[in-house]
Amino acid sequence: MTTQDNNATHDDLLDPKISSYVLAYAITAIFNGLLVVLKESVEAVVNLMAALGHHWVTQGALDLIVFFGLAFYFTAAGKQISGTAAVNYTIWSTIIGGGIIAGFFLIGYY
Amino acid sequence: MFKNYELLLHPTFGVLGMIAAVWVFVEALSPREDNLDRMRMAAKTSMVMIWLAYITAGYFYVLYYGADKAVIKAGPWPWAHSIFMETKEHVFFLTLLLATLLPIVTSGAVNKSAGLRKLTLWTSAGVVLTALAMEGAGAIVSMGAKLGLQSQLGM
Repeated sequence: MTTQDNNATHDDLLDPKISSYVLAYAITAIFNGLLVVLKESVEAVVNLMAALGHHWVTQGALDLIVFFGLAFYFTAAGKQISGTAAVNYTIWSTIIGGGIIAGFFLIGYY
Repeated sequence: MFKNYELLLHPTFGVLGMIAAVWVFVEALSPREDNLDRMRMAAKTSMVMIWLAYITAGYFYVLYYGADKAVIKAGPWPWAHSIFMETKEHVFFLTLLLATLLPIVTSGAVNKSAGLRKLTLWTSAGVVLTALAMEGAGAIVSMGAKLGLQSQLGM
């Protein structure tokens, strides 16, 4: 049985593909939250999204387009970030993206 | 009738995806050459299960949820829809994307990079925590519908 590599460092640059998908996730998480606020605040936006099928299905499709589109773009650009930066982007974008949504509906209700 | 089974499939896939993400987390606590394949298999399992939860949720939500929504909003827990369902249906996209990210993160040499190991731990924890929140919100939505129906029946 082998053991964990002793040469591991905390600030090593991640490979472009992993870096790119992490960055794409972080941006999409915030985009998703802002899109919720926009569609719930502007009737024309939700009507447009609903006209394309169902507003929730359209939102999911837009999220996936942004996520994979940015991931391919960043990968092609050879983007690299450190492991620490990747962790920070992942955690904070999830908290902020989720917080925007939960906060919006909580405030909206009261 | 299929509607009832379908409604059970959604949280079942969600729980299986969450368990697989816990598995990834545990493997990433002590990543070695000989557990990388297992970790990657668990990551792919988590992604597939969460995607299946998404597809079954979408099917139910788009075709059937409108009637449940009316019952919940007319019942004693209207906030079960207005806060919890609205938040759940949109935060779920974060769970979906985190689960999609998991196999990509674990495709790297997790046993050789401390940063990648930490990223694997946090990404799998993200899937687990957001999926737990989805399960909890789903329970509140179900209770909102039950109380709404009881209210209509005068119970």
